[in-house]
Amino acid sequence: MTALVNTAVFLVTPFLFLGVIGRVKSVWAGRKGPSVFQPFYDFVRLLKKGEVVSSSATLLFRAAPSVVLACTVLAALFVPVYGKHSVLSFAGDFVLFSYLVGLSKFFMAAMAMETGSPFEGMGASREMLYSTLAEPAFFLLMGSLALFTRHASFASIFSGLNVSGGISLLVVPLCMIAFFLMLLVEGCRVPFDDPNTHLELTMIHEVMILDNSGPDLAFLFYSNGLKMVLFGSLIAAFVIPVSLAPWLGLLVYLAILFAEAVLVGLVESLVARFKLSYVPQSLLLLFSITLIAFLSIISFVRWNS
Amino acid sequence: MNPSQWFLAGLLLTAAGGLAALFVRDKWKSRLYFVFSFAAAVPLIVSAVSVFLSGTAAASFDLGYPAGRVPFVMDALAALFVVLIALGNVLAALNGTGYLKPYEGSDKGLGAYHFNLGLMTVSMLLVVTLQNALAFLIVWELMSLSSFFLAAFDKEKAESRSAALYYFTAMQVGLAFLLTAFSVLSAKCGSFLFDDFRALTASGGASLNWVLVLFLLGFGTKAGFVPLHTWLPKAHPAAPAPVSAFMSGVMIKTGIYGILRMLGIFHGAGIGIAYGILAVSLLTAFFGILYALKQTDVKRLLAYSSIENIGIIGTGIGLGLVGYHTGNPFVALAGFAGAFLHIAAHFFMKTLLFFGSGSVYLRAHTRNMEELGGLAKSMPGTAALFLTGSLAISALPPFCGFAGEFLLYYGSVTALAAPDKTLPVAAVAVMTVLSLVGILALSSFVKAYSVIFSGTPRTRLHSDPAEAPASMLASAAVPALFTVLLGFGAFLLVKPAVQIASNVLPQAFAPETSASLAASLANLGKAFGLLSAVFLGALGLRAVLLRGKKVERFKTWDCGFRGGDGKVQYTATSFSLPTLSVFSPLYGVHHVDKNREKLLSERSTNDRNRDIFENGIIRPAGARLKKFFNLFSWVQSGNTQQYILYGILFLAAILVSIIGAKK
Repeated sequence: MTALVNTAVFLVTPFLFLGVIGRVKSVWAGRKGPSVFQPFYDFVRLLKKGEVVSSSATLLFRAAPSVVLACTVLAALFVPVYGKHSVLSFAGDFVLFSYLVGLSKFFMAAMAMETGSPFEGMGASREMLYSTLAEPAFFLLMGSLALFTRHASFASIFSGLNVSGGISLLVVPLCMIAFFLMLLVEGCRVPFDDPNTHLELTMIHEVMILDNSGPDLAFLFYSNGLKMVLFGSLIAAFVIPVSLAPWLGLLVYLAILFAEAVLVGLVESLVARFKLSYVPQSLLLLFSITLIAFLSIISFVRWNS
Repeated sequence: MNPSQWFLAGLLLTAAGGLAALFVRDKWKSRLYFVFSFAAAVPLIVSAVSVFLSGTAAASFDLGYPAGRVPFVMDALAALFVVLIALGNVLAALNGTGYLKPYEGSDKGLGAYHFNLGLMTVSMLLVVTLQNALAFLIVWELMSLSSFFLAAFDKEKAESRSAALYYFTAMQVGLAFLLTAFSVLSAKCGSFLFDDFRALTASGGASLNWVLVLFLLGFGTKAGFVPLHTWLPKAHPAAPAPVSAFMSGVMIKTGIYGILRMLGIFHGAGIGIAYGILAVSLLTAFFGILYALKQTDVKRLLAYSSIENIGIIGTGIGLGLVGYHTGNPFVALAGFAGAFLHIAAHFFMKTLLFFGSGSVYLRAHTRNMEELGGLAKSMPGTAALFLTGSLAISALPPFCGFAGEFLLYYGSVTALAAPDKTLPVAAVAVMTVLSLVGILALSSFVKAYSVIFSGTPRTRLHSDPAEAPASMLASAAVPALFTVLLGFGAFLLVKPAVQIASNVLPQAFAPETSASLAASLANLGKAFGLLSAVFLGALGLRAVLLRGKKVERFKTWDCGFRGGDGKVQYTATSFSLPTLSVFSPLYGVHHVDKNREKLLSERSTNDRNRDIFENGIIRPAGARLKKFFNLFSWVQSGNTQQYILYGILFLAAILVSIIGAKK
């Protein structure tokens, strides 16, 4: 049952997530905007198309989108959706989750470099910078939560979180902010990256997929949406009490995802993309937040032992 | 035959191969050596496997005065290294049959090359099995000497000579530490036997810990722990590719062997040493990979990456020791098993990558990545193998590099729950640093693969590169296969890891501890299978979707700018620049900007990398030492009369002492 529901959720929500973001942005700008199903229509249209492959690319370029898709789909299996159930779960699975995301980044960057385009090399290089700054924060955060709950897998860590305790009032908001920042970084959204920019020099994620087309582009498009939903689901897992009935949990989960999409849309409407040289500093902010969470947890644990 | 005899047979066959290569024509040297190395590997691996199946093999022989009895002991710890040495020798030999072809008939000395390769293999095999301090030091020094000659293969190049000498000096410094440490121990117990040392440290307790620190410094120099790592990025690029692979994949691990053996002799040392090893290892891993990211010479990059991996292995050892001392057998086993797995994993990954760099050098005649590009089209096999190695060494699933690091993460996660006060903090530090190291490694190897093999050529090469010879491809395909097999089948290695750990720690592990470790690795293997299945599914889906559709080739989107050639591509330097700029205080760059006032086309800038440890610690220390020794330079004046005076004084001293003794 969990497997079925999770699969259905992860098949549908990435498109809606992107659709809601777009809709919020257009409403805020005073436009009517496309339907929330537009990303899905785009996806289907891409699937129907043929491809144009760069003449300097090799097999790696064509296989990379499939690798990215496989990594993201597999990573999704470890993420709890409603009632804190994930399809697969074992001790230390969040390590595998993070390294699967890493594998997809390797292929994204290598794929971009395949084309020999200076723009795409720039995108790959910047993507590496962002990951370097975001990755340790993820592990520091997961380590702190594992320390807090004494559990070692995604699903059990989140079901072990006691949201009512005093310390949680500090830790949970910090973690939610941290995961939301990670959602923005990993999803390549404003203020770290702008999916709507029109100049190749200012793109990061978009420029890396500049030469992809057809089904390959569709794969990358879906993977990107799914990755955002995965981080969104982690945030949701903080809030949903374990005791909730499954159907109610699912509803609350979908409502939270919706709220996050609205929030991403609002951020994109209100904030401009950071100047590139400020991005490392803002990512260090992410690291500082996780550090505060870690320090409060470790002092809490010591106090109690 | 018993395991000791199998081992002896392998040893003799290796030596025979090295000798035989001296007496045949250049054309046949490498092939003959390969045949012998293959014939030697079979009995060696048989003996090692039988040790894992049926327990330690031991024999003993007497060398007479002064060494005395020399025990030969092949326990599980030694057996692990015997397997790696035997395999490394075969692979290096096979790779050499292709790599050395252009040197046939030259005055390079291929006979000496193979003789030294054989000598190095034999001495390493003895290093890991002899348990007598004097005999150990002799074979240890033989290993350093033979590898020095191999590193100086390109002796007509000044760069190569100075690198080899630097290596030689570093090894002597390391030896000085070992010599002192062994002397102290054997003076205290009046014996050279490791067993007697073990008895001594049992009664000596913590008062002998400073001797252990000397051992760690000595063996750490060989392994390449920060700040004693500075010889690696010089010696590895200078040596021919098969030798670099052998040195990096196997030889530096003898330093790790020494550390593990000494930890066994010191009964697992103390908690302070354990945290010390952990801290130094994390530092080593971080700085190793940070400097790797900076490199533009592919072999220097690989050398720095070896330093990183030594740091990861050390992290496992440190974590294991800390777990042992705080009474967490699970953490202890996870740490040590992670370290052992990574020793094997790094052997395969680094051998593979150095062989790849050798193929590139053979065809393109440069190690500078900035001059390369687009080689995947002319060397597809080499490219695919190098890609496999790059993925594996970036610790990405489903390859072996990930399995080893996963154990370290798993151990750390378990350590979080320990009731100890310091351990959880250390565990979080391990996880955070490992993740940072992992992503920097990913960045380094995306760079290495992409700049060499992707895109279009950046410069016009002397000749159009062709695919590497079949022998070199085959020698790289074997380790490539193992990186995948070890990734999927890592859970099978938990049992041998428990056996090896029992040679290091005075503790037996409960079966349920190792069973739960094996179970989590088996989970990993299943997840890898699922990943492969989903990937194949995605490829299939793609093929179905594209059936009957138009797939055309067109030039890369260039934004309307048509003037560019291969030179407009991102280079190794520009690729890593944004990330490095964040860490800029941690490495030194000497920036040379010539002709500042002139036009852009006439300007040239040059960034020279500096290793802060080399410039901050090693060089100043060397300068001080030199100054000190200069105080005694008058002893060697070059004046014959003075030397005759020394002779007379010496004879007089002997005369006096004899007369004194008579009374």
